[in-house]
Amino acid sequence: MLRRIESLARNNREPVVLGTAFNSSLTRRAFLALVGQAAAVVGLGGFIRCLGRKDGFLRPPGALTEGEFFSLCIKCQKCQEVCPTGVIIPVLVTEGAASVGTPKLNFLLGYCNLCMRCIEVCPTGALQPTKKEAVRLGVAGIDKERCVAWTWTGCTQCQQVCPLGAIVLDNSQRPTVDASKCNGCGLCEYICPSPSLRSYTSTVGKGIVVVPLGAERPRES
Amino acid sequence: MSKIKIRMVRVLTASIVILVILLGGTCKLGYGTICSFGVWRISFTCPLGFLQMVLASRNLLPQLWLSVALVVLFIILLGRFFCAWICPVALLRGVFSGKGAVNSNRGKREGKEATIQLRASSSANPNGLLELPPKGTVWASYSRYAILGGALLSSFLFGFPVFCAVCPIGLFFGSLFAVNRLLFAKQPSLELLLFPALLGFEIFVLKSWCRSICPLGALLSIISTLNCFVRPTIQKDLCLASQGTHYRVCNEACPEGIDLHNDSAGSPLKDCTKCLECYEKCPARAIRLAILR
Repeated sequence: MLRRIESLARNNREPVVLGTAFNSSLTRRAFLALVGQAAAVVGLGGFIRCLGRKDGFLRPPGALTEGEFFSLCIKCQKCQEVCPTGVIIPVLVTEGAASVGTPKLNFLLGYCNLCMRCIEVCPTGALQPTKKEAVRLGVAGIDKERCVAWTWTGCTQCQQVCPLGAIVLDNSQRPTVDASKCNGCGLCEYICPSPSLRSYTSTVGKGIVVVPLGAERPRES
Repeated sequence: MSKIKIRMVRVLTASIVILVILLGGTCKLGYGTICSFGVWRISFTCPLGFLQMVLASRNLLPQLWLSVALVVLFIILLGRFFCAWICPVALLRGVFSGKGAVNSNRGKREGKEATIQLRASSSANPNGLLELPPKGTVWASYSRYAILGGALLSSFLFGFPVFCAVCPIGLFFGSLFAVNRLLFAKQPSLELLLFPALLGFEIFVLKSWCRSICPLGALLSIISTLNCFVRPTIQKDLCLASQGTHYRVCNEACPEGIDLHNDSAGSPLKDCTKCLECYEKCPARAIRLAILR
């Protein structure tokens, strides 16, 4: 060991550095560089913001208003991880660059059973504790061009599964949505068999769709 | 003599963290990612994310104080250990650069220039005691603090946590989860290409990410001024440099450019990531990890 140290010492001809290696005098150039770097990051924020914070995502239950939600969500993915039905997925780049990674509901993958686990795990309070009765995720609307019952006959799946009785059948056994009762849980959209029943026609998409509150509902005339 | 290198232990710890997070994501355990990692009721929230959210929402967010305080407590105990032992960016840099420390932060050019300048000035200085040229070096190393300030200001102005949108740690887990969604839910997305591309740009094109850009590292450095445990210190009686030889093995090993022989010469000790490279490499075993300051 000692021999190794000695040989290392012989080979190491670097002079000993003593005294201050760094001088902390701030040159104008260095200062401008620092300011420029900070400004670039500020600009980055503005750029992302300009890419558009698209409103109108279906958010998990208890979500704050879009602006507040946007400022509090750190995209930690916890809500998405715990969701037992797998309805929560991150917003994709193609849907809004500024909102990438924030959670949204996709009722093609599942529905909200109001288990509230997403709210429990949310570390920042972007999802606030809410009573089940007070939850309004969105509102369902029937797309009469895609709904099997409206274009043909016989299907009442959505009416049968709706836990709130918000879907009522008219005289011709066609479903309609009572918006005042609907909480947007998405079960109707999830089970709607329209796309598979009509997979041989050019029709795509569900016959009943949940849209965010205030958004335009589908072609329901 | 086969010795387990500390570097490999660091690769292992960072990999375990990634695996646990991936497992949590796949099995719906709800651990979250590094942004906010929690098991049961104990959770750790990214202090940079917290500050950005406070500024973005103009709200003190008391619900997060406990989990941020836990992080601060760990930093007081272990300093910037996160950077060397947990951060997936350091792991990626270490694995793909193929050599050197896991967090090989030190710019190559910077080191070479310093050496050249040292040699050049050694002839002019007869007693062999040198000073590195000043030339605003230290201010250039403050760039990550400038970026930290910019990120906070930007979050305040535009109302969302700005740095989180481009944070390489977030991009890393975003990429993993995108692959996860592809494999388990058959949902391909543009993220599969975009996230790794941006991540690669940040880590491999902007080469000095950890050292001159990362605002999280900057924030950890600031909090690390409170750090009082596991600080590498030199035992003068054993140190070869203190006995007049030209040894600088610990300096060269340090990815942060800390000079343990002279506090004012290199980066401050608060930048220490506890990577233990100096401890491992010192031929005289002269570096002690002081438990208390």
